[in-house]
Amino acid sequence: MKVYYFDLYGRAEPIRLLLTHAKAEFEDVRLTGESWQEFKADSEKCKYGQVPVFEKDGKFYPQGGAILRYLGGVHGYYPEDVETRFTVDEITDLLGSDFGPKIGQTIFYAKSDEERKEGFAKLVEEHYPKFFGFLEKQLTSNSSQEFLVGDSYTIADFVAIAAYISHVQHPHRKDQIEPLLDATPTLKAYFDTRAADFKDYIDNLPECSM
Amino acid sequence: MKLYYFDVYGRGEPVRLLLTHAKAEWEDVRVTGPTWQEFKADKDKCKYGQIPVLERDGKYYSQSLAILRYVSGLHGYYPEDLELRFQADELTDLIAEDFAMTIVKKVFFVKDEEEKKQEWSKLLEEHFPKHFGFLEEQLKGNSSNEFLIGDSYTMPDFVLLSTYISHINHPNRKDDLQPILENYPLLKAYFEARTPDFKDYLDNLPECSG
Repeated sequence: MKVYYFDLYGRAEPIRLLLTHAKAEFEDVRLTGESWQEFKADSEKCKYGQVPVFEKDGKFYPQGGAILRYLGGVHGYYPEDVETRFTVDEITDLLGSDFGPKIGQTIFYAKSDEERKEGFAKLVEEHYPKFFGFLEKQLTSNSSQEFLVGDSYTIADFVAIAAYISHVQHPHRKDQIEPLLDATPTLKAYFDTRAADFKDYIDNLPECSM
Repeated sequence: MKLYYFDVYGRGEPVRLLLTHAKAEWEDVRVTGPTWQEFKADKDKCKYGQIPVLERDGKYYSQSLAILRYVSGLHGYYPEDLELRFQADELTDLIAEDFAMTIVKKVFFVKDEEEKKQEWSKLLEEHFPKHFGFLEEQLKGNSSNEFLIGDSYTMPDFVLLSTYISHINHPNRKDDLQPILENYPLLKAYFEARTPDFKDYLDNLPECSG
C-alpha cells in the first residue's frame, strides 16, 4: 500500500494517521519537483491530476475524502449507522472543507509576508475560536469527551488530529494558537489525549510548512 | 422533512433532486432576507451559520455533502460495497467540489465584470472540457452508460444532474456549454437518458441565477 502526496501534512495527513492507527503497513511517498510531474502525467495512477492518491493491490484511488472514507470502511472507522455516520461526515467536512482550507489559503496564497501576517492575525481572532467552539460543543454533547463521535476513533478524529499537527501544534503557529485552547478545555484535553496515542509518530514527523 | 436553503440551485440542488427521485415527503424552504437572518441566528437550527440545513423528526442536519450522504443512505443511493461506495464518494467530491465550486469561486463570487468574463472564458477553454472528459471516462468504463455507477441511481448522479440545471442547461450558460458537450457523446447521452426522469421537476424549476 502506498500513499502518494506532496511533502506536506495537508490532505494526506488524516490518511497517514488512520493507517498508522490501524497498524496497516504503507509506504509514505512524498512527491516533489520531477517525481510530481511524472506522477501527475500518468493518468492511470493520477486520474485527476491531483494528490493524494492511495495505491492498493495495483489499483489507484484518488480524492482525499473518498480515500479516507474508503479506508474508514475497511478498518472500522466509518459507522454503518446512518445517524452516527452523518455526524462523522458533518465534523469531517467542517474540519476538512471549512476549517483547514481557509488557513491553508491564508498562508499559501498571501502575496507578501505582511499580508500573510495580517491574514493569520485575523484567523487567530475569529476563525480559530469559532471552530474551536464548534468542536468544544461537539465534544461536550458527545457520549465520550475523548472522541469526536461515539466512543472510539472515527475518520473525524484523524482529520482533527491532522489539523492539530498542521494548524495548532505547528512550530510556526503554536505560540499564537495554543493559548486559544484555554477557552475550550474539553477540546484541549481531547487533543492531549489523542496526540498521546501517536507519540512516536508525532515525535518523528517530518518538518513541513503545512 | 424540510430543506432550508437560499433561492438558488447551488449546494441545495443535489439534495432536492434526490428527495424528488426518492418520492420522499419534503418541503423546499427557500430563505431570503429577513427569514435568512432569523434562521441564521438560531443556533439550534443553524449550527454553523450556514445552509443548506435539513430538518427531519425535529433534528437539524448541517453541511451540504454530509446531508447528501445522509439522505443517500436513508434512500438506498449510497452503495454498501466499499469499492462501489469509493466511486460514489470519488465522483461526488469531484463534481461538487472540484468541478462546481471552482466555477462558483472563479466566476460567481467575482465582482468585477471584466474579470468575471475573462475567468468564464478560461473555464470554457480548460475547466469544462477537463471535467466533461473525466465524466466521459467514467461512463465509458461503467457497466451502463446511463448511470455513473452500476445500473441505477447513486449519490453522484444527483450531483451531476444538479450541474446540468445550474450550468449546462442554464438559460444564461447553455449557449456556451452545449457546444462543448457535443465533444463528449456519452455524457450528452447520459443527460438525455436521465433528465426525462425529472420532467415535471425540471418543467417547474424556479428561475435562479445559479
